[in-house]
Amino acid sequence: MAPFRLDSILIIDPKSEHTLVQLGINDETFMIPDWKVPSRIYRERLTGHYFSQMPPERSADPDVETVYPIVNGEIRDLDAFLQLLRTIYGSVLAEKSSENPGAFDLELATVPLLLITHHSWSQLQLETIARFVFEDLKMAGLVLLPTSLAAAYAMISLQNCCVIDIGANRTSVLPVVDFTPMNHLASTLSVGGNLINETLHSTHLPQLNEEQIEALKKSAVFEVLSDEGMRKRHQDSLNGADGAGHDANEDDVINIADIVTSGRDTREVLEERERAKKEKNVPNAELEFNYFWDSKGNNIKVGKQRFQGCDPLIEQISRRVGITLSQISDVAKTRAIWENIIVIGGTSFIPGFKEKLIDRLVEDHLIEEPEHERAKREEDENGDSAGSRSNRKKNHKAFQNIIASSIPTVEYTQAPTAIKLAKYAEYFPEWKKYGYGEIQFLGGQVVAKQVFTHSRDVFYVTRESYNKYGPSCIWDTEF
Amino acid sequence: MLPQKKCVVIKIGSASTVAGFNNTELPLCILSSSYMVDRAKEAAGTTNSSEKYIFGTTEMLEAALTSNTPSSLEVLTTVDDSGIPYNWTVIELQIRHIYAHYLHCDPTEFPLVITAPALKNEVANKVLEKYFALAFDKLHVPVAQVLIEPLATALAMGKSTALVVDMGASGCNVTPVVDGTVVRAGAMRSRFAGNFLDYQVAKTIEQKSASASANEDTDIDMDAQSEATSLSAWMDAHTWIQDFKATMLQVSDKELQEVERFHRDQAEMYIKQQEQLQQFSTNNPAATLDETARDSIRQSNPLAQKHNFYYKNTHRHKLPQTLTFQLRECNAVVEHIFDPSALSDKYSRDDGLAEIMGKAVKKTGATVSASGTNTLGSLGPSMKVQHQASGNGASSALANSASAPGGGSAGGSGASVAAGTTSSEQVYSNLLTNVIVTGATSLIPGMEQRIINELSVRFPQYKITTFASQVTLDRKIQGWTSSVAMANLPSWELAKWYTKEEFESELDATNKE
Repeated sequence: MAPFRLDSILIIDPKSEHTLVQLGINDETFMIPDWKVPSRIYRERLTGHYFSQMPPERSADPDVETVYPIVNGEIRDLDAFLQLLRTIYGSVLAEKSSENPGAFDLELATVPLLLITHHSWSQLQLETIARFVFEDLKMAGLVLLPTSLAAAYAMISLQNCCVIDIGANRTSVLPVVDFTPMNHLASTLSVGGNLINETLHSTHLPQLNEEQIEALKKSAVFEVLSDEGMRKRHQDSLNGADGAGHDANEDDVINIADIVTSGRDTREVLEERERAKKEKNVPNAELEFNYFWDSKGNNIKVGKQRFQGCDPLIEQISRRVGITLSQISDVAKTRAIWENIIVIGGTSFIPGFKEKLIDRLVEDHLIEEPEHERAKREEDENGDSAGSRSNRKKNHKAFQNIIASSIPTVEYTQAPTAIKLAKYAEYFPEWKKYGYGEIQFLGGQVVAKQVFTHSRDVFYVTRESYNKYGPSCIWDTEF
Repeated sequence: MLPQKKCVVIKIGSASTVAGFNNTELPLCILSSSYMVDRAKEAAGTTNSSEKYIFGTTEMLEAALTSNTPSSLEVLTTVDDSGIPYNWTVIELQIRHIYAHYLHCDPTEFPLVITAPALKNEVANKVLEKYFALAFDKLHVPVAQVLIEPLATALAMGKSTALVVDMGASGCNVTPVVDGTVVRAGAMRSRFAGNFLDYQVAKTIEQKSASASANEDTDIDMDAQSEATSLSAWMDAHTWIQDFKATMLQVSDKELQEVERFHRDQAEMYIKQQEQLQQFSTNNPAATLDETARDSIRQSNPLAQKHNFYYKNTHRHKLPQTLTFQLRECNAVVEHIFDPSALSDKYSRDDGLAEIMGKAVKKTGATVSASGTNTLGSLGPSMKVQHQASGNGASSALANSASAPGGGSAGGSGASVAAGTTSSEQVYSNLLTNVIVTGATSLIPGMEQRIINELSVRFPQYKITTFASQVTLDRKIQGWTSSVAMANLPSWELAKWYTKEEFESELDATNKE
């Protein structure tokens, strides 16, 4: 079969709350997803008839229910999920063909689908999805890409890594070894971003209601400060006197081209710049108080509490990551995985969250010389050098000792001896601007482009193989 | 490609239970074969067993680390010391848990493949009965087959004749497979394996730790020792002992004593050489090396190489410690697997892996050459015979239990083509060029080489070839992946599948004999 056109590739990444959708891949760079639609559908209880939108005349009708097919990453209602896929596909086709009536002869003639899946989806569910995609939606090709792999491919193809996917009410820890998702080690914690809301409400800001707390969490003033971050900020502010002036100069230059290409209202852009400048003058982290707007338009003042509330979540994630990675028996692989931690999900958009999580992982799991032993060792060595000052030769030795003690001399056979966040693919400017919380979608784009435009059709489920072998053929073409 | 016949494959091992479908290369879960009971919940009268029992390594570790009342948690086993499942009530719950949480399907939907170790006839019968009772009466599986694990391992590697050395947790199993059948008379087992290493490692580390903190408070260690519960023992095994085994242990290529002697001799020889050199260059026949020079030469022994181990025992609330081990200490721990007699008079050298490998090969040679045609199955197309044999291995175990005790291999019934004269030398040679090394304990660096060397000491005139997967995870779950390969044979007729009725009628027939 001939390779597909780049502009006919459909990518869908369904999550509990939102589904990311994109039709067509840009030839030069990868863009952020075109659509982010709520993962919900409406169903008439009696007839089982589905609506993509709540029919306005029936909004008060108790017989029409709102269904969220995915709950905590798992498909709870497969039928509704399939209808959601149908709705999405239909809307995409409708929009494209209305833009260009001839589209069905071109990019919409054969549409292949790349669907990003969750590790909890059962084989039966995946097979049913495959059947639906080929038999009901009549699509031309299918790739089922696990979230963990998608994230790994987004990070410049990481062979070994651990993906931490934080949802609203669940967190999945997904290790990948040699480009293979370790499904038997993947596990899901029953807490997610909402634990931050709960913690904030119960211990820090009891006076705010749920909505306000959610607004605070999503606002720019909510931030996680790690100790190191704090220190760095302090240093920045100390030598900020000349640095700031330099920055300001640079900022004052308005890049007209940027405004024009952004396609936005010039006044709006300028206002935003103005606001950003004000905020930038004093970083949020150094303000005693800051303000945010809730959904009703109230401006709320909040103090130091805006830096708190993430610790319980981070603690639980750290423990689970430790338990999970300790079960990987190959030390070399484990080492590589610890150096490539990927954090995805909405919560990872919170400034400083990922860094704080890494700090916690380091604190809990890093193998390094225990503090008390190092202190003792240094003491011993310094004692030596102090007692031998009279002799010049020995003095030289002491000098070497000092050099020796300044570099870590105790090496361990175990892992991890380093824990790091994986490096982001920063050369996709659109994604860099957008942030990396939904980076798995970028991975989906990378894979889709390679697989569907490849001259051989062995890396995805083709219509031919589906017609021949049925839904179970997805297990023979696992990507 | 043939249409998939999807089935569920479950391997219950002494350390871990592996489960998944036959259409993927990796299993969907690897659980600890042990399980956790929350006595507090039990006392509170929880009727729902799913709350009382905790399954799965991750879940158990999580529970142990977060529990407010760790003393109420207890870890129990489902598989006994000889690798035979015994706790069938819990095994049923565990398998139901696997179906519900990992496979996401109902047991009645798919055929089931269970993997069992190679067992002696009388035990095999009972275990088979138990497995089928579980499969048919409790889980209501439509059809099921039981595979003999070492046979599946050999056949999945494309070998109809092999010596399968499976180093697991509760024991090392050496199983000879000749022409697609297990030669039961030659199957040997040593209990000195992974769990035994756990114990040795714990002892070694605790000694080291105590001596390292000798000037500190050693009483604490003794306390920790005395309150060792099933939970803390399990936690130890799955945290720092596991770490130590994975990163520190090594096997010397020959017996450690021999290696020591070799290095000592080398050092002495080198010292002598240096002295001669000095005598020659200084023209002083009495010139000798000074003590420090001698010491430094002796110290350069590779066995004296030092490795640091970061000993963190959080669940016993100890401060982390750096423990330094010489390579010879690490080697010594594993040495006992080959020769346990060095450890205590209670243990015999005959029980070590080195001896039982030799015995297994010799016994197999004797059995096969003596009983010849009677014990060997027909040699059809290899796949077919292999699989028939594996299925029939189970069935003929049934048929043979009364009539042919200890009759060596389980042959396909009525399939005795004249194999004629297979000399024991031929059997030796076939087995020794096909040594399959598997099991998690075999992953200790140097193990494969050591096995080759031990065999070549015993069979100096034969060529020895070992086969072992170099991927860590593969070797850990090889029993499972091999069963998947067997479950994926192109035709169902190649395996012995049982329905409830078939099994019961065959069982009745056997009992009547």
